[in-house]
Amino acid sequence: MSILKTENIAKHFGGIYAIKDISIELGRNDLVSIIGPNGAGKTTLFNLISGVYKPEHGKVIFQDSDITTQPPHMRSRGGISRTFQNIRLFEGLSVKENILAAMDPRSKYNLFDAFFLTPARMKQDKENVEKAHELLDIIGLWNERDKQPGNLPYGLQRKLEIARALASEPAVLLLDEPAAGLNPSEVRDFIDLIHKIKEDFGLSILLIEHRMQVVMEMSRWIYVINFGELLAQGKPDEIQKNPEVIKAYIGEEEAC
Amino acid sequence: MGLLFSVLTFTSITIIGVISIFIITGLTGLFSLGQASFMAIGAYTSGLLVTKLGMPFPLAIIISVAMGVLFGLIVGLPTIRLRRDYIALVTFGFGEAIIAVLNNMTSVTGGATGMAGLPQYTNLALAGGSAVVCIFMARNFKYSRFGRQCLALKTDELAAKSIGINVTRLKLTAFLVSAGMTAYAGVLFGFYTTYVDPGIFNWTKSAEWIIMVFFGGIGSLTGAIVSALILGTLPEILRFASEWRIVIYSVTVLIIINYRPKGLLGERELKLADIKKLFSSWRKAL
Ligand SMILES: Nc1ncnc2c1ncn2[C@@H]1O[C@H](COP(=O)(O)OP(=O)(O)OP(=O)(O)O)[C@@H](O)[C@H]1O
Ligand SMILES: [Mg+2]
Repeated sequence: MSILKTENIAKHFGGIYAIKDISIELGRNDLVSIIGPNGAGKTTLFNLISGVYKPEHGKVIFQDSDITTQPPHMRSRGGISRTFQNIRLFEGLSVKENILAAMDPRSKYNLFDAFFLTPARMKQDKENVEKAHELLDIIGLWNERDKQPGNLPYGLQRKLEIARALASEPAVLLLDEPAAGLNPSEVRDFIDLIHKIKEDFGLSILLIEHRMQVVMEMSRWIYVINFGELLAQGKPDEIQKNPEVIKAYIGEEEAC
Repeated sequence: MGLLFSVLTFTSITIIGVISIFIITGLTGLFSLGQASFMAIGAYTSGLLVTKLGMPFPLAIIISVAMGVLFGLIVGLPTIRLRRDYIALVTFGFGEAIIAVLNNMTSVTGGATGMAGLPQYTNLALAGGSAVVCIFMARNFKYSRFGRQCLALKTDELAAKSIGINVTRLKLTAFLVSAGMTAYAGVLFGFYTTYVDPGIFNWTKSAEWIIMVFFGGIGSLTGAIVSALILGTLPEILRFASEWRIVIYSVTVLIIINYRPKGLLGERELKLADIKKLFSSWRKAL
């Protein structure tokens, strides 16, 4: 049973297809990866799933309903969270507030409660702060809670983005190159963290990643995209041996 | 004494205006260059209701604030989805249009000669008390789910949407809150001066408030208040140096913008502890 899928989805920019008729599927409590050379269209696919772009044609199906035309904030509230390839944290909010902000859209109190500190507001905010503290602890950001995100080292900024995505209580998590820029010891730590949150929160994860170590170790299934089209799919060991995939990657290295 | 009271009353009203700009610009990152026209709406609505219809003042206040919000909705609904720079332009146009309408509806508003004969219901206690309540409300707003989400969308709309923030709706909410608050400032103003004319509420007034928010530190509520206190009273204090007033005022603003590009306080808030520290260091110095 899949929790999320795309059906023949397509998106072009100025007549050039960045994503062309791609169908992928993610199961419950599953981890599926999307790989492909630079500019293949991976991030564009995430943008279609999270609603940043509307597709030219094709569908996005989430928990059996068609969400192709839903705006991004509704998809987040529905249970699809994401991180960004180029980290996008909220400067001006502390680490803790970044997480609280992701809980706020689901808080119930209204403007009046906000202005006059009614019990409803105090109670809700207190609960959220407690939850944020738990999350900071799990992710390993407790000591950084009052810092500005811009002052964190790169690895911790990546973690904060994941924590923020988790704060909106997703069913599906889209991670766009979350291990980029991490050093080898941080990568190990990162793999363990993803395993842990996947089990603890019962998440289904869709992962874009260039580091083959991460992809091969973690994925149940891999989709390979090249020039916006699906080049191959399969289990990690199948993909590793696939001649077409090898060719696409070698082609990229020669081009560099 | 009379002068001091009057300066403090005007400054209290300015604080309310500046707080409304703080909410829309400091927290949400939108520029409303027509903000003062909401003050005009508040002043004229309440003025007409009281002088022409003999309505009790408190009821007139409520209706005037509602009018401010209603007009906010009329401008905000179609424009809030636009890019930030267009919002600045549209609010500017709206503000000047309101002034033009007030100028031309001579039979109702008195036109350019203004509306006179309002009873002086506003005093320092009412204006000062109102400013304190508005500060309290703005502080609570900033640290509520609304304020946090405003700050989030101000820095990154795409990321804000991705965590479930309804960006359009929240911007509109912030805009309406500030419109209502400014309308209230207008009521206080009209019933203090007892006379208003449309020219008072043109875009220079809005710009003045925006300058004050930047001067105090964008994102800092206490900065906005301190700056309203300084820049609001400075022209009065400098009254003896009449020609030099505007020069000194402008130079003060320029110095701050130059040496503290993020404003007096940046994004920090002044805490009681900071003030205590300041006093104790003074005492030591003495
Ligand atoms: N907003 C946009 N406007 C125009 N072209 C775009 C836009 N976004 C992506 N593209 C183009 O679409 C193609 C796919 O880009 P995308 O970012 O999806 O690639 P990617 O697989 O994520 O690459 P990378 O591994 O470098 O992150 C590229 O050619 C890119 O230039
Ligand atoms: Mg990408």
